[in-house]
Amino acid sequence: MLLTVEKLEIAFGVFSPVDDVTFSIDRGEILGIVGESGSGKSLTATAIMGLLSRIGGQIVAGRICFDGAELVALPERQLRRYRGGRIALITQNPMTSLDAMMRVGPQIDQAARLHLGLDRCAARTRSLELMADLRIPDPALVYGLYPHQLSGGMKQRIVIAMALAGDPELLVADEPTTALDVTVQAQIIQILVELVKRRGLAMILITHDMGVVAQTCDRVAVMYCGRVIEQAQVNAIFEDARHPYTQALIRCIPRRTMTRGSMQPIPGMVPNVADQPIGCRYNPRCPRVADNCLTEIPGLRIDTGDHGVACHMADVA
Amino acid sequence: MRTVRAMPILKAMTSVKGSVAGFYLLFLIGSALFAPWLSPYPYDQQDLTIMNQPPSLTHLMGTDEFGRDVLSRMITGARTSLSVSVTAIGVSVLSGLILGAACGYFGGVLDRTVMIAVDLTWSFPEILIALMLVAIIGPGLQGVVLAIAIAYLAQFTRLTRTQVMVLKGETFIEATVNLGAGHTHILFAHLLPNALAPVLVAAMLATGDAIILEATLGFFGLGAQPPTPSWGAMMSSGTAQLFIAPWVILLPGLAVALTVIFLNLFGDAIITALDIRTKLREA
Amino acid sequence: MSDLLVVDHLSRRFTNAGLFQKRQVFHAVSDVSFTLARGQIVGVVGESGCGKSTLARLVLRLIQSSEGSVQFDGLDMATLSRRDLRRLRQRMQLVFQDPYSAIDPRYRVRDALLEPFKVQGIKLKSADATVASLLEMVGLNPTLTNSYPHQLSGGQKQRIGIARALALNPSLVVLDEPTASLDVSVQAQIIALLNRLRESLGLTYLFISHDLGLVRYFCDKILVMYLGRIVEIMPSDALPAHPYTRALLDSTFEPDPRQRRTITRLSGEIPSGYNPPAGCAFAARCPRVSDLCRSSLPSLEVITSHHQAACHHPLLEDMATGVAQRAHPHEIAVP
Repeated sequence: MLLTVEKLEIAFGVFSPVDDVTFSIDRGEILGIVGESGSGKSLTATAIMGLLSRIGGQIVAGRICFDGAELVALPERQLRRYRGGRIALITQNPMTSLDAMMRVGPQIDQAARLHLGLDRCAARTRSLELMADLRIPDPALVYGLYPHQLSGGMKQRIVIAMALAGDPELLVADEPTTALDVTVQAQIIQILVELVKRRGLAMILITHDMGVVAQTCDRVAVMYCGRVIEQAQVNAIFEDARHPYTQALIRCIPRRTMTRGSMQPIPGMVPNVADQPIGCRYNPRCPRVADNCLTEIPGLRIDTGDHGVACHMADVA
Repeated sequence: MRTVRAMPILKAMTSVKGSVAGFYLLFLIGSALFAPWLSPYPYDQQDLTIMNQPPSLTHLMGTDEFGRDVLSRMITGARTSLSVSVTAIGVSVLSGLILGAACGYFGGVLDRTVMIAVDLTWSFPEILIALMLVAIIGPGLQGVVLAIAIAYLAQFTRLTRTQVMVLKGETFIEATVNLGAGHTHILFAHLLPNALAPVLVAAMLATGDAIILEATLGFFGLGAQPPTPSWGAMMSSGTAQLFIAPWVILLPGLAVALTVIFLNLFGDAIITALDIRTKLREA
Repeated sequence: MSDLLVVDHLSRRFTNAGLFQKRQVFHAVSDVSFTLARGQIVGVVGESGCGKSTLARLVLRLIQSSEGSVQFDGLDMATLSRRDLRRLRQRMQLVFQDPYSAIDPRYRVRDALLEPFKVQGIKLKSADATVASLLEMVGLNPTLTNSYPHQLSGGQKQRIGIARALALNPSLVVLDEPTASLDVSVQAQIIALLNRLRESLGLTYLFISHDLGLVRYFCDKILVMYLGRIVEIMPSDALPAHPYTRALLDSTFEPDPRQRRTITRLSGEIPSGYNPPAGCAFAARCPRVSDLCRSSLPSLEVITSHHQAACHHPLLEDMATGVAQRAHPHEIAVP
């Protein structure tokens, strides 16, 4: 396994918005982390990037193991060697992740110069190759443009090129297409998937969009209120979802076959991080709630087919 | 949980900075309000036998060149300084709110005309405006109030205008238009209440400057006319005895300095309490 | 069933003239015509910048049109006095995309819900009862009545937005991407609520969205916009005839891992509204483009009785095979 996250717990003061998160990912694999706002999916990404302390959080328990190295205990100076190098982040908003005062080309060069030790000229050549690889038309021209001269889709490609410049083995993509239009989103997702497969990278794709998950991921981890509640191969998630939340989430997506009024929303709302229910965190909204759901947090039980579910009521084969 | 209407003044008092400044200001306002009862002597009682006496138990802050009690004059002077600057800033804020809101909301020719006029007042030094006004309406506190009000008009008009222009683009304003609301409702129920907080904080900071301005004008003999004391006028008359009786000029100077510093500190504490620094910066 | 809304050749241009700049004209909405029957849900789909939000505001006359007319229940809105227009606003309401900024942050839920009545000068017998019944209507707990907007979740705020819009008992509600900033499960709740309210109150919706999947689920009729123009008007269960609609449909990710497919990649960018091309705006990205498309602007032509497309080369072969659910997704060759 390239990256293993084990029993990760993140705390902000007295609150633990992420608790007991376990998953792993290997080269050539795309792992989707799905969840709604407040599920802790973005914080998990921030923790992997070692950027939690910048937003006032800290890892209080668990391990993040990357290619045999333990990242949690690593001092900032050594973490920097990984961040942007072997592990790269693609953020949600291309408008804010680019420096508006700097031409986009040199922004891509930075990672290559920092992590691969290339000189200016070699970094530039490499950036141009990367840009061509991401199907940016006329890379030499775009190299010298400022972010505001580019469309949203083009900016996101530049952000991806920046992420790739340090020659990463793991890409963490946090809602990479949420800010983009549908046709552009389709282009970007396609480019990312091709990249992972062609270069044998690993990618953690964080998204709220079950459609994107279905079309791109190999494995899926579903998060709810800071915990992974189900984890399986993508087909198993969509055809054999065992957690009531996953089942309900899938029923919330409009499909071509549905008639108006047939969509079944989940009753209630996601609880506040300061006000988590006792026991299973889904119990106030769950149709199958039993006595022990109200007292005991279910752990993730993984069956022989590598299908994990954290529910007292689910049958595990 | 944060509540929008939690009294920002009380909240500001919870910080060290805010509480020290707040208590000083309360003390000052109290002395100004109850000046006649707090003063140990009438402020204009002359006694030429005790001219330029240094601070003692009978005269805690000494006496001036006419043998008047400096403490009593300081307390009454606080009354003049505060009432002049607060009235002036009040007039300025009120006019600024009306002009700024109208300009920001309606825009167009009205906006351009008013803003040119307002910016003109900004380009003249306050002293010059004050001198012109005194030339027109004669010396006295009305001239000073008017001069300070005009000097700060541009600042409040601009601040209100920017606030209103930003708020005008907010979705909730469009939502209110869509309910069928008219200009009056939009201005008074939404735009002004939301624009008010930063304007009031700016007003508090400006009051400090206004106290200095009042003192300056008083120093030049343009403000309160004798025997009415004001801190500026006291400093002016004290210059002659600077080396014989330094307390006559130093104590009012210290009062001006402390008041300005504490007004600024308190304004800062309120900015922190309201979390509106970004809004002020936009303006 | 009569038409509640008749939009006829509606256009809106914005002129952008700085002191030292060249005068530029932005074509936000061009020559848009459609009708909205009572009780119908019509969806407007398009990508950002296609003019769908401007269209919503033109229909409600929150901004004025450059050309064309909007008739609401037989009344030409341009001819109404300011006063009459303000009165008419009771009957047509708007629900906003961003529930976070649609309520004055200084207003409690109660004040926000009573504001419509205050603005229209309607005296209420019991304000408390009105607030309670409005909250109940949108499925919120009456204990929220004294909360401030920042104490509510996105979904709760959007419900308040809906309650405010429905307070004056309107006939037409324009929904401007009401679920775009919400989570999927909250979106499902809001859509279900809107559907229930439409049935119980007999509302007519103009539903603006960028999500073709959602629009196909929720609407009776779909208008597809591209660069300020309607390129296709179709029943929501029909197959698209315009290559752009086809591309939009192929860009949506079906939540089914068994139906994976290569997604059609559209090359090129949307042209600028400052300088719209002479021919079809989609020509530069269209796989079926011909010389005719680059020189002459296609107008909406009838495909079937309820289906119109503005394309010189509509996808009629799709229509001929005519299955609403395509078993084998097909691809458009990338030029």
